Amino acid sequence: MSLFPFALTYSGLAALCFATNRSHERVREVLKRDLSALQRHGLRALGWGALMVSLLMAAAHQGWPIGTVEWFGMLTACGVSFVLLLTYVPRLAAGLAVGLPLCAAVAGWIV
Amino acid sequence: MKEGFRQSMAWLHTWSGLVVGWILFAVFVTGTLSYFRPEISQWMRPELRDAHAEPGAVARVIPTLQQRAPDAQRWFIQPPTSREPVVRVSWTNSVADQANGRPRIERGNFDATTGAELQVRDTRGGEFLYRFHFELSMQPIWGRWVVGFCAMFMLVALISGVITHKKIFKDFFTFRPRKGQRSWLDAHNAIGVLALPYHLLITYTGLITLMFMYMPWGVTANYGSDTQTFFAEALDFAPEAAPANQPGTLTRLEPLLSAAARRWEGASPALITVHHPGDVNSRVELRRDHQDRLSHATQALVFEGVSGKLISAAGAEPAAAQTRNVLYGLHIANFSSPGLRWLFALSGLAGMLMVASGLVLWSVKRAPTFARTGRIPFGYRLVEILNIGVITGLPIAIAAYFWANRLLPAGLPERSTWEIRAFFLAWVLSLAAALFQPARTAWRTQFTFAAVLFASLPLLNALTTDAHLGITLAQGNWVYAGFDLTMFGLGAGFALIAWHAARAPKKAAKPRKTRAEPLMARAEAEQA
Repeated sequence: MSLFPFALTYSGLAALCFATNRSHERVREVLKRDLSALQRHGLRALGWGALMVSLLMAAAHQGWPIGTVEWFGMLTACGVSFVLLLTYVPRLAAGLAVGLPLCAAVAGWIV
Repeated sequence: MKEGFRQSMAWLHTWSGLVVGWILFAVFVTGTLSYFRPEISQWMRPELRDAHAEPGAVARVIPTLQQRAPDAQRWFIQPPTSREPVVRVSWTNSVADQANGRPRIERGNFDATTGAELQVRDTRGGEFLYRFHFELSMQPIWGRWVVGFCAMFMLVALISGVITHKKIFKDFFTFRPRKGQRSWLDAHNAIGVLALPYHLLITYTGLITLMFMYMPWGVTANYGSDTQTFFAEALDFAPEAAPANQPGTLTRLEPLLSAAARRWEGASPALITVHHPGDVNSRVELRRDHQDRLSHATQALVFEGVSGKLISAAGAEPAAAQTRNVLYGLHIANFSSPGLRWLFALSGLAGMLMVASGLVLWSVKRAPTFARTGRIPFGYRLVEILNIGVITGLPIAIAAYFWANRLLPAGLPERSTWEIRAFFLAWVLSLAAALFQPARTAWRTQFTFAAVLFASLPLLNALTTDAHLGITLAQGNWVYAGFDLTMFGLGAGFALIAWHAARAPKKAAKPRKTRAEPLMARAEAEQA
C-alpha cells in the first residue's frame, strides 16, 4: 500500500465535502463565505478526479482485485478521520487535504 | 401498510438491530481480533520470541512426528510464516477418547530450525477468539447457527438502516458532538455509512463462509447424504483414501515441496496434511497459501505418501466455485499486506462502534420519557445492563484472557481451559457489576477498568516474561512489540472513553452557540 493514493483519497473526500455541504456548520466556519457556483463545480470535479486517480493508482499497484478492496478501505479510513478532524479541528482538516498529498509525494520522491 | 414505508423500515431497523446487537458486537470484536490471530497466538507464547521461519523446517519435523504420533490418522502441519515462525502440528489419535468416543486432537509446536518439539505454555492463543467469532464457545453446530441467524438480521438491519436514513448524502460528513441523542444518531449514521461497503461485504461474505450449512437443500437434493462427492466435484476437495493397514515408509517431503513450488509460481503451501502417515496407502496433501490473492481457492496437490507420485492437482475451478472462493477470501482476508490488514481492522472497529452506538442510541432515545415519569420499565433496564455488560464487559474479558495467559503457572493442568475460564469469569463479573450500580457509574468504572487492564499489559508482560518492549523493540521484533503497543493504545482509547463518560452531563447539553449558528438557522428556515 503506498501513501500517495491514500492521501489523494482524503483530499478527494474533503473536496467533495466542501463542494456539496453549504449548510454544514464546520464547513461554514472554514470557508467563511459561500463559494460561487463555478468554484463549487470545480471543487466537485477535483474531488471526483482525486478519488478516481487514487483508485487507478491502487489498481495499477496491486491489480484490480486487491486494489479495489484497498481503495474501499482507504475511503472508509479517510472518511472517518476527515469527519473527526472536521468536527474538532476544522481548519486542520481542510489544510491536510492539500498537505497530505504534498507530503506523500515528497516522501515517495525521497524514498 | 398503516404507516409510511420509511416508518416501518425504521421500526424494522430498531428491533432487528437490538435483538441481535449484543451478539453482533461480540462477533465484530472477536472477528476483528482474528485478523491478527497469528500475532495474538505468538504473543501468548512468549517462549517463542526468537523463533525464525526457515525453509525446510517441515521436513525436519517429520522424524519427530514419527516418534511422537506414529499411529495418528492425520497430521496437519502448518509451515512457519513470518507472522508465526514455528511449525504448528495437530494430529488426530487413532485411539478414541474415553470421554466422548471421538478421536482426540493433540497439538504441538515444533522448532523451525531443529525440528524438536518446543516446550511452550499451554494456550489456545488467537485460535480461541477466532473460534468464538463464529461458534461463540457453544457446541460448534449451535454456535454457527446462532451467529448465522444474527448475521442474517445484521443484513436486514443494514438494508433497512440505509432506507431509514433520510439524508444519506447530505449528512455524509456530519457529526455534531455534545448534543445528546443527536450526536449518538450522527455517530451511528456516519460510522455506518462511511464503512458501509465493509459492513455489507463482511456480513454477506460471512454468511457465504458457512453457506453449505445454512442452505444445504440444493446439495442434498442432488447428492443426498453423499456430501463428500459434492465437495470433491464442486470445490475440488480431494476424496479420502482408506488405509491398507500395512506399514509403509513415508517418502522424503523436500521433493514434493519443490514440485509444489514449481507448479505454484514459487508460492508455498499453507497446510500439509499427511493422511495415515505410517500406512502403505498414505497420502500427502499440500494446500497453497493465499498471500497476494483475493481468492480463498483450495489449490491442492495430492501425492502418494510412499512413492511420492503426484495423484491429483486441483486448481482450475469452475465459475461458481471461483465466486464462492473470492467471497470467502474477502471475509478471511488472508491475502492482505500489513497495511491492508490494518484497514480491515479499522473497518472492523467501525463495525463495533456502529453496533455499540446503535445499542446505546436505543436507550438514549427512551431515557427522557422514563426520566419524566420516574418509572423505569424492566425492558429498558435490561437493555441498559446488557449494553454495559457486553460493550464494556467483553473488552474486560479479553484483557482478562491475556492477563491469565501471563499469570497462570506453566504447569497448571488444563491451563488453556483456565485461560478461557478467566475470560468468561471476567465477563460474568462485569455483567453482575452492572446490575448493582447506576448506569452512568457502571459505564465509567468499567471503561476505566478496561483502560487500566489493557494499558498495563505491556508492564505485566515485562514483569513476567523476557518478550517485553525493552527487548523486542531493540530487536525489531514487531509481532511482540506491535502487540504490546497496540494494547497500550487500546488502553489509552478506553481511558478517553471513560473520561468522556465521566464528563458528559446527565442531560443533553444545550446547543453550543457558534458564529455559524444564525446562518444555519437561516438555511434551515429557507429549506422549510
